[in-house]
Amino acid sequence: MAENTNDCEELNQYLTFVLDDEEYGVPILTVRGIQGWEKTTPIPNSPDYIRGIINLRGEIVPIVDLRRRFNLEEVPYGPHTVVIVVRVGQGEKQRTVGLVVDAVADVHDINSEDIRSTPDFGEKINNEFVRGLGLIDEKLVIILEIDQLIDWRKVPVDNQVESVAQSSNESAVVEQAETEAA
Amino acid sequence: MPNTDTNTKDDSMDEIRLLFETECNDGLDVIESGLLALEAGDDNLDTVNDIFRGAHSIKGGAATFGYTDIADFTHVMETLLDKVRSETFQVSPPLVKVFLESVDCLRAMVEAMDSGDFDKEKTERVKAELSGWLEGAAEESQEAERQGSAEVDSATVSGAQRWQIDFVPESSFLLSGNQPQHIFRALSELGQVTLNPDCSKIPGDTRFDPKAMYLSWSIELEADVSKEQILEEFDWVESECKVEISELPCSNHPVPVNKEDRRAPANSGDRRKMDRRSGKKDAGSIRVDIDKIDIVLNLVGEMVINQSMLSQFNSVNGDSAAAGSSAELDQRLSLLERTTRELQEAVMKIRMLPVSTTFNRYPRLVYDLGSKLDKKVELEITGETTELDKTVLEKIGDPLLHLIRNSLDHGIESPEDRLKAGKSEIGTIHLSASHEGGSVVIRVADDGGGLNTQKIRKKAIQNGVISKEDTLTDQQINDLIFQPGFSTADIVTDVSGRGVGMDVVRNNIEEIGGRVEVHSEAGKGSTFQITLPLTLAILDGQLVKVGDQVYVIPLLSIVETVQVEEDKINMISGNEIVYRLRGEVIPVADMRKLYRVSGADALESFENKQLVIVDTERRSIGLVVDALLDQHQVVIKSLETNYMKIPGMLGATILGDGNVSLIVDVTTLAEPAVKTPEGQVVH
Repeated sequence: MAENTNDCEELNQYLTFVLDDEEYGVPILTVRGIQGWEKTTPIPNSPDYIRGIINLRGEIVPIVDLRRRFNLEEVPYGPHTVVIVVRVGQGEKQRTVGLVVDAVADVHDINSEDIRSTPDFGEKINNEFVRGLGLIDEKLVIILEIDQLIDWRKVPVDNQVESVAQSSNESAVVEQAETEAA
Repeated sequence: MPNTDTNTKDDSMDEIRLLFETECNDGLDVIESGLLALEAGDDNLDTVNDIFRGAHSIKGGAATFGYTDIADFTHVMETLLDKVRSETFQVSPPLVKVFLESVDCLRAMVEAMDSGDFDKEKTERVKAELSGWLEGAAEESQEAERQGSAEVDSATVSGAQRWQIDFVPESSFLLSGNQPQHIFRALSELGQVTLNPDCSKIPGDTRFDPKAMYLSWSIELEADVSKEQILEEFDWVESECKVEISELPCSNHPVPVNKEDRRAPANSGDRRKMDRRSGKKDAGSIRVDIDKIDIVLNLVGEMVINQSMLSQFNSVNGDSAAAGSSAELDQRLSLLERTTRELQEAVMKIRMLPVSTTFNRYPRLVYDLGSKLDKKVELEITGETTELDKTVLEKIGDPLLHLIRNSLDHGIESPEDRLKAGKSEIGTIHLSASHEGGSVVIRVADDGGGLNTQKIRKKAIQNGVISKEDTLTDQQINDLIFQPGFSTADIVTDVSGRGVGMDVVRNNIEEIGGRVEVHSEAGKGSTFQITLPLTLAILDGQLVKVGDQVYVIPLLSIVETVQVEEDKINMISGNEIVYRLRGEVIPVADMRKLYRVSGADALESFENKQLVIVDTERRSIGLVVDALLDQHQVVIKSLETNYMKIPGMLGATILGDGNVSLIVDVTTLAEPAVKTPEGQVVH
């Protein structure tokens, strides 16, 4: 399993998609499928970027709205809105997650030498989600660090929602709320 | 994924090592339960054989994989066990204790197989102790010899193999310069030698030839050598003598201990040839990775959903379709439904294991604790073949352990007290499992002093759990022991009584959808009763509608459902809602507020709402829902597989229409800030 990422890097192929007029890429071997947007079941007490859960061939899979995750302006879901199902994490901690994006773009070969390190984005997009910037001719593709999209260590709690069940993770909750407020 | 060669090798090595580890643990379990049976007075020869076999296979495996520590240790153990097996040695409590300690050491060694990080000091100590017993064994048999009971000359090289060598030299033997004493000396270097010369061929008359060999020997050799090694000693004289070597049973000497009664008739005390108890074999079973079963279970669940979707589709569209084909389709569909149900049940059964897999841990615990606390306790186990889901079984282990420990520490009185109370000196803890209705009930019953109701009440008042004015029945008081931070032990021991206890037990049991109750009778003992669902994978649920969402409430925890009558609702201090139901005041939780259900504003009116009363052991709570839908058996899907645990939710399920629905975890509902007017009073 550990070679998974290595293989991806060797293959250098990326599935790209559009989000707010920018092109983003994920390693193609992490992609398990692409499907249209369907209604989700919302999860109580979760961050707002988690749209909910869906049934993916008998598995319960959480759906992440990337616009919300990157604090981009929200747009209504249209006919091009798709969910890219990816496998994140390594080894036994692998999880399947769906990403809501504006539209699927292309598949590109990007050599590792063509991937630049990340400049500081300021507040628009958090740096930790970006692995690097890929250059294809004159076009720029933002390569995502998909493992970082959901912070698994923290129990996600929408800070606007009253915490109902008093979990032992309250400190983590507060921390999360503070990070989000910042 | 392409795997390199080395990886494959490593993987298979890892797999084999894992297998060895499992085998070791299985073996150790067998040894342990066997030892405890011996301790309890079981004198079945097979028990000893089982123990021996367990040790033997661990030794073999360890040697194969190069775990010399384990192999060496087990060797000493095996040698001593062999003594027991061949009845040169009687089983005594101290001996069992040493063996049990060695089991502990081995467990630690197996666990730290690769790191080598185990308590070497303890291991050495126990090993020395074992060796000490071995030497003792040797002395004992030598003593037996001195008493003239037999021609015993063995046992100093303990547990070694015994060979019978018939050595008949030709009469010309001496002419070629051979001297039998050289051979004897060489043999004695291999091990213990007993010579039985046969002088019968010496002619008593004039035919006697001083140069001829008339003697022959029957030699007994006790040494850990192969037949070939023995033959080697006779290499030089091969052509001038007849040598016959045969293996002897380990030891068939009469033994100094009085165990004639244990010996099987017509068997000269040798247990080696005894066959394993028939019927105990688990014939034709295979080991399967639990993940693989779960994949099958998952797929079958998916199939059940698809099947019910098909049925639904058919019943909705049935009218429009041609009537004839629809009827046939109906028939086929119901057939399919039956098959899928059966398939689902069959797959569920694969996950079921007998409770004995968990129960077997406890005799050892009772043994250890009993001696530590100087109490005489017997653990009776019944219904150990009752089957439970593997996950449930794993999670019930610790709570049960706690309950048994508790019974031993607090329940069972000291032998003196028991005698004074007119009871037998030996206390009994009865651990039982049985099917009752759709659940499995596990009971831990002791015949000790029972719960001290007065003491619990005093403590509860002291801790502020109840107030002095509260009048509670004895049962209600007994139930207080499940409150957090409750321990009535006079002395805090390392066995139990650190204030964490019964509330943790209850939480653990509730976590797997079970319930725990206590019944106690002063002076006669107490019984803890745990009711568990058969499986964690399926649940009977009531589907409810809240806003545009459908939730599943476990049917087991629903007491009743009522249509809300608005005049029975009271607002306490503006935001806490209670409902009066037949003279009881029930706190009410609004599900749309709890779960922030979209498509629904906060509750404005209770008109046409339903109240689902759920029982959380601590209290009853009313849940306000918009409508009651169907009751369904739902397959519980973990949210943790791809996401994480969601507080307040047991999991999710996929409904007949393919949509995902969350299953409410009723037990966590007791914790929100819905308080009874009295604040803390629970009952």
